[in-house]
Amino acid sequence: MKRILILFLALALAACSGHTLTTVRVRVDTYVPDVYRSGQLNLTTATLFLPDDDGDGTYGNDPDGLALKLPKLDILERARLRTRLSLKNTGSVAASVSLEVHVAPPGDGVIYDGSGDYTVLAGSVALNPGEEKPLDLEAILGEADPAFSLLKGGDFRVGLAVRLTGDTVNYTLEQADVSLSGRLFEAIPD
Amino acid sequence: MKRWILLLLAIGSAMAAAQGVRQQGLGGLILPGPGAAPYNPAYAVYPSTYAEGEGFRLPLGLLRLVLPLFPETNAPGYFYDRQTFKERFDALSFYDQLTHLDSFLFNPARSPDEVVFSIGKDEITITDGQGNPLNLDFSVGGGGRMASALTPPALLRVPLSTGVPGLGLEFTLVLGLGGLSVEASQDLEQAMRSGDLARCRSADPSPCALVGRTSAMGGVGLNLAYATPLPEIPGFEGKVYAGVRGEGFYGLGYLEAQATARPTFDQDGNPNGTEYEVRYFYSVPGNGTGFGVRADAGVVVDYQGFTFGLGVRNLVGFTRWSGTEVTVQNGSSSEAPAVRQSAGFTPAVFLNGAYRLPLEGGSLLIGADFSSADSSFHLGAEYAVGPYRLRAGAGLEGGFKFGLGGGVRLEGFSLDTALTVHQAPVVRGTVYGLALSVGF
Repeated sequence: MKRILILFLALALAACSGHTLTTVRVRVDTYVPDVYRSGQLNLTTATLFLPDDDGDGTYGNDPDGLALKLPKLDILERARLRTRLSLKNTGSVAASVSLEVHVAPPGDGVIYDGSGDYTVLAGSVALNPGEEKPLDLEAILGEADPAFSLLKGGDFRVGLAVRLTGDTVNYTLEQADVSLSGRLFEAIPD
Repeated sequence: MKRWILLLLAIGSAMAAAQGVRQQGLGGLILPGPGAAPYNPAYAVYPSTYAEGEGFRLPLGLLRLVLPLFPETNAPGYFYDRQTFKERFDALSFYDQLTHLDSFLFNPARSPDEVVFSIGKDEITITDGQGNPLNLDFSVGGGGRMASALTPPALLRVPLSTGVPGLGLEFTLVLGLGGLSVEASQDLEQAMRSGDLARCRSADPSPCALVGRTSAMGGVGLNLAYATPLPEIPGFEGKVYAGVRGEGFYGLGYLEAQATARPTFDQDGNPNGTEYEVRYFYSVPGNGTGFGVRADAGVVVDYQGFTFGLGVRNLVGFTRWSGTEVTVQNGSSSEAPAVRQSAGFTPAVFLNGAYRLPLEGGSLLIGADFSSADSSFHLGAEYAVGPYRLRAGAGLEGGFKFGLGGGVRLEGFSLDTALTVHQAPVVRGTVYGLALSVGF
C-alpha cells in the first residue's frame, strides 16, 4: 500500500477546498480472511493477533500485524480508530474478552509487547454464560497523543489483540478500521 | 505576473466560448442565422429571420472570480488574503464558475465537506462524507481532444472587405481550451461500483486507470468564405443557400496533456501503490511551430416555413505542431522533440433547424441543434408577444442543461435575462445561474 493511490489525487484536486476534509480509511478487517473473521476463543486459543499474514499455517499468531504504507500525512488533523466485535459466551462459566489495537513503527517485529509500540484503543467486556454482547470501541487521536506522529508519517504497522479470560466465547469481527483525516489546503503555505 | 496572465487568458478564452443570453434562455440552442456561420458557412448569407439584436452581455461570472465577497471562487485572494483563501476557497466552485463565465452561479458546484477514500484488501471506494459515491467522469468542451485543424471559437474576429458579394475575408485571434476531461476506464468504473478489485489485478499494467486530458491553443487565423443563395430548383418550393470556407491558422502556442494513474499490486494481489504517467506536449515560438488549414462546407434549406442547416467543419484538414514532449513517469521525467499532426477527413457535423409558428398576437419559435464536435444537443422555444419574449430550452452539453429566459425590446432599450441550469461536475446536483444583457 505504498503511497496510496495517487489515482485518487486527481479526483481529490477536483473536489478540493478549504472546507474539505480528506479521509483515508483503511479497513483492517478486510485483511482478515472471511473464514477467520468468526471463530471461537477457548482454552487452546485464548489470544488472537489479527490480521495474520505470516503464512505459517496457524492463523492468529502473527506478532507484527499489518504493514501500511500511506503517503506522509503532514496535514493530518486527526486519526480515528473503530472496532466492533460481537461476542457470545458459549461456555459454562463467566468470561471476559479484551481487545487492544496497537500501532508500531514499520521495523517492529512484535507490535503487541509494549516495546516500541502504542496501544491506541483498548477495552474489555464481561459475559455471563449464554450472554451475547458487542465490544464496541472507538478513539480519536490528536496532536497530543504519542502515536500521532507515527501515524502522521504514514508508514506504520497496525494489529488487533483479542484475549479471553474464561472458558469458551464465540466471536465475529464486524469492524476494524483506521481513518486518517486532514485538509489538503493546509499544505498551502501561509 | 505569469499567474495573472494565465488567469486573464483563461477568462478571455472562457468569454470567447460563452453563449449569448438569448441562447442561454433557449437552453444553449444555436438558431439558424448569421450567428451560426462559424458552424455552417452557408449562414453567412442567410437572412436574419430568427436573429434578434442583443445588448451587451454582462460578464456576471467575473464578479464571483474577482470579488472578495465570494471567497469560495475568488482565486486572486491567494495573493492578498492567504488565510481566507485557505479556509474558504473551493477549487470545484472556481472551476464551475470559470467554465460558466457568462452567468452568475447562485450555487456553484461545492466540494464535499469530506472525501473518503476507503481501502480494503479487495476494495476501493471514493465517497463523500455521507457515503455517496463521487462521479469519476466529467468532461467539458471537446474533452481535451487532440491536435486538430478544428480551432476553438475565435476570441477576436476582424472582417476585411473584399468588395465581392458573398465573399468574406476574416482575420481571427484564436485562443482557448480544447476541453477538459477526467475519465475512469471501464474496468475501474466497474471495480469502484462493485467494490471488487479482481478485474484491476487481471493484467499488468492494471486495466483500471483514471485518465485526465486537456489541450489548449492560441494562434492567428485567416479565413476566406463564400456563400450564396442557390438558383431556384424547378419543382422545389424552397430556397437553398450554400457556402464553403477555407481557414488557416499560424500557431502561437499549443499544449496537449494527458495524465494516467493506475494501481499496482504485490505478489499476493494486495494494492501496494500507484504508477502514474503524465505526458504533455508543448509548442511555443522558439521551441516549435504550428500551422493548420481546413475546409468547411454547409447548406441551408428554407422550406414551407421550416429552416434546416447542415454544416461540416474540417471536411478536410491538415494541422502540424512541432515542439517538445515531456514524459513524467513515477517521479522521473524525460523530454524529446516531437510532432503532433493530423490530416484527412475528420469532419465535425453541425445540424440545426427552426420553425416560427404564427399565433394570434404573437409567434412561437422552436428549434433544435446537434454538434458532433462535443456531442451536444439542444432544444428550445421562444414565445414572442409584442416587445416581450419568453424562452425555455434544454440540452446535453457536457451534462444536462436547462434554460429559462425572458426579454423585452423597447425603443432604444433592450434587456434579456436567463436562468441557467446545469449539472455540477464531480459531485452531481443542479447548479443555477443568472445571465443578463442590456442594450441601449
